[in-house]
Amino acid sequence: MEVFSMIDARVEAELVARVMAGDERAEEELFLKYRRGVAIILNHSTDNSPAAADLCQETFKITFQKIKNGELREPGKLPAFIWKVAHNLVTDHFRKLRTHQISSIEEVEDITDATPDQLDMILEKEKAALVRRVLSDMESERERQALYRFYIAEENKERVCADLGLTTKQFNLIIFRARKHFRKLYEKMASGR
Amino acid sequence: MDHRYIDENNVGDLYLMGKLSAQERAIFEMHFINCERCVEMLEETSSLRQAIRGNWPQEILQPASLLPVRAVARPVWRTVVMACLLALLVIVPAIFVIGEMRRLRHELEEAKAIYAAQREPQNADEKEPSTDQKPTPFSERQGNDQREKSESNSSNTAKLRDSRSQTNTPVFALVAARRGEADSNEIITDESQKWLLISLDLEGDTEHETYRATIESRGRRFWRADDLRPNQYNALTMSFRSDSLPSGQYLLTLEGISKTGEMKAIANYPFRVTKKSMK
Ligand SMILES: [Zn+2]
Repeated sequence: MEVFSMIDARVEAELVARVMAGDERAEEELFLKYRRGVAIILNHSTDNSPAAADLCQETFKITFQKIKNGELREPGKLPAFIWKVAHNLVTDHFRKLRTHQISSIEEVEDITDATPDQLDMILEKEKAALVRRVLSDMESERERQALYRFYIAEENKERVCADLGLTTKQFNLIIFRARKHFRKLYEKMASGR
Repeated sequence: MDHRYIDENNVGDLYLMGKLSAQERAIFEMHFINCERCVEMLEETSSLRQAIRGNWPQEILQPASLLPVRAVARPVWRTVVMACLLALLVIVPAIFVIGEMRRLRHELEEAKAIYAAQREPQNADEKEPSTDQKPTPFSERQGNDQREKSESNSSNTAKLRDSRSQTNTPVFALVAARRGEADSNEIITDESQKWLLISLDLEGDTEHETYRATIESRGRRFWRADDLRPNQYNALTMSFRSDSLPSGQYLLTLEGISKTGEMKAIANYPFRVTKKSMK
């Protein structure tokens, strides 16, 4: 583990040095390496707001600028550095949103005007029907219960374990299997449609 | 934070559910921001949750949101019978209490209007009544008017309490917070009350067929229900096991869900839960 993190820190330092030197390919590499993680953080922090995609672009724009300005003193701390940029943008986003909410109703109507097109809606409906079929067809009642209680009712694991007479290890195994079976069945039904 | 710890403690799931503390969340985010393994797990979990959340088939397993389902290997017909019995136990008293509550509330309003009309000319300069009395669960719009608060001890309120004790399922009608108002609703329960009902008046909102209610405590999501439908009085009711809501401050946010799935914020209902110990 230690060896890996040392290698990682060295790779990170090289990447940062190349970005500082104006290497555009290094920027792309850094973007590809962090993009998905940053997207999850931003989606989570904004409750899946459509603004998350723009905030993601902005995070990297600012990160590259700051690296070039020499603001990242310890390249090994790049993950924390990007994390901070992303969170500052989220804070800013909500501050702006609060100011915006006080402005006119007409503007709000403009925002809500963006309705999904018909094809998207049909595809969504098909997907929903498929998910319902998969859930109905899952063989193990216990796995289905675990999915429901953990992911939908969001009950505490300890409580579900106590109710179902499981150890936490057994619970983790059931959740793992439930996810696997759901995915398998979904793929099977989707391909046979 | 290593992968063994992450897997054993379902850190990824808890993160997506908003159940990690701020510190745990920051540590985990700084870990997965460049960890392909965790990113993949989070993406998969997120799409699984999204897929099953709005699409859970009505005909299979419909536990009341916070109701424990004890017997796993129980035959299906028994589960169905149990579910029906439980629904009867909770819904019938709830309907009765809500109907009774509305009728009595109406009577109370009338009595208040008459009393206020009688009292106004002679008592215009009278001091405001004291506010340190126990709040009643039916705290409908009481925050605005101290005089209304003093009326909550009237005989009508006593009747409300009586009707409540008939079923022992208290109903708490929460009042939406208005801008700049820090007032909170009070929910006071004791150990004898195994269930409680929260009712939200939707006021003027009639444009949505379904609603989403989210309860947060200390900035973390505590509970959420989608697909809530208003009753004939344009109110939403939710049942909770009393022990699932420990003492503390909560915020319930209500959003309307349009037919295309768009969410619109409707109102916020701050409330405080206090457990009264029985002597
Ligand atoms: Zn990881």
